[in-house]
Amino acid sequence: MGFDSSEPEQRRRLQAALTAAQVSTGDLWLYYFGIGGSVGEYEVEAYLQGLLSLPELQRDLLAMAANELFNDHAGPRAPYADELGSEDPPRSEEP
Amino acid sequence: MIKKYPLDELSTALGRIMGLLLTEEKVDHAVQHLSRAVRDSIPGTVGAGVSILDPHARPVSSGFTGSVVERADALQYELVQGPCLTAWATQESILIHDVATEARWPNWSAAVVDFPIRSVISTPLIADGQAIGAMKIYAATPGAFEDATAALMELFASPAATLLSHIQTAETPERISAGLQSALFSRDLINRACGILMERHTIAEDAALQQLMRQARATCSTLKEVSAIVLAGVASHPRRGSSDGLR
Repeated sequence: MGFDSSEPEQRRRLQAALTAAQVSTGDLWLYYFGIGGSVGEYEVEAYLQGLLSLPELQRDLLAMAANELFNDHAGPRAPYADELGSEDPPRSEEP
Repeated sequence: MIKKYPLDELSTALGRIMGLLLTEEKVDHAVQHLSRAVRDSIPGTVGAGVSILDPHARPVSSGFTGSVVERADALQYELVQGPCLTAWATQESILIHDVATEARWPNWSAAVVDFPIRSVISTPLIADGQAIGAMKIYAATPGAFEDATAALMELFASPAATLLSHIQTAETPERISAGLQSALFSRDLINRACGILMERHTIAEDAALQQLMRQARATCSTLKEVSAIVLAGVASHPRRGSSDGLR
């Protein structure tokens, strides 16, 4: 089973935004759950590790949760799927 | 006195799922064992105690090696003064060379004057920068402890506080409750807004949620805010017919 072409990029930038804002996976998940997210914390953790593929809607909800969580932060935003060019080739893993 | 929080049972259940809570029994066991370990490890100690305090300096969980320690400790909370409360409040270890001549806590010193307690060290339990309680040791003779003893206590206190901060029974549900309560509230709000859009536009659940997300992004609002607007629109038109312009 493969990833959507923009998925690794979206995940990587979500991860970067979380790290910059020092938001834990648990806090992200609770907020994501609070805005209607339907995937469990365990799966979200696996997604962030690049071990699990999530549907676009759930990925976007995670991005939205992150962006709403660090609304007053100057750090990087988490991108939505439609903001990422789907033309870039699917990347395997960053070092 | 145990304060009940809304969603108490749910947050306690969630806390257990998240592995943050142990039973009260286990906490009491932990502090009991810790007080014994401290007493047996520090030379000259005749009694030791460990107390976990809530933010209002009320003890929520305590362990003692004997009734004298327990009574001396209880007096601190009754009199609202004493070395443990000061250690907790200032986040610094307190060393008393002789209770009989100690002037910092006159009421407490006077109350324990007949106890077999002359030397005291009290060390705060600090986890994540927050004092969650204090550990104390007592000796029957004056001058039994020195600064190095306090340093030894602090070595004990640091890992103990980190572990105990995860098994507090009184605080954790409160902390979880606030986050969970707001998550459930907003999830409910957003789901209701989705339901309205599904009916209004004859669309599936995912499409309704996507529509709300687009709306939020376009207006730089949160998902909760755009959902609240959808709900408010319905509430203010309780009897609107199918011919209004909102469809």
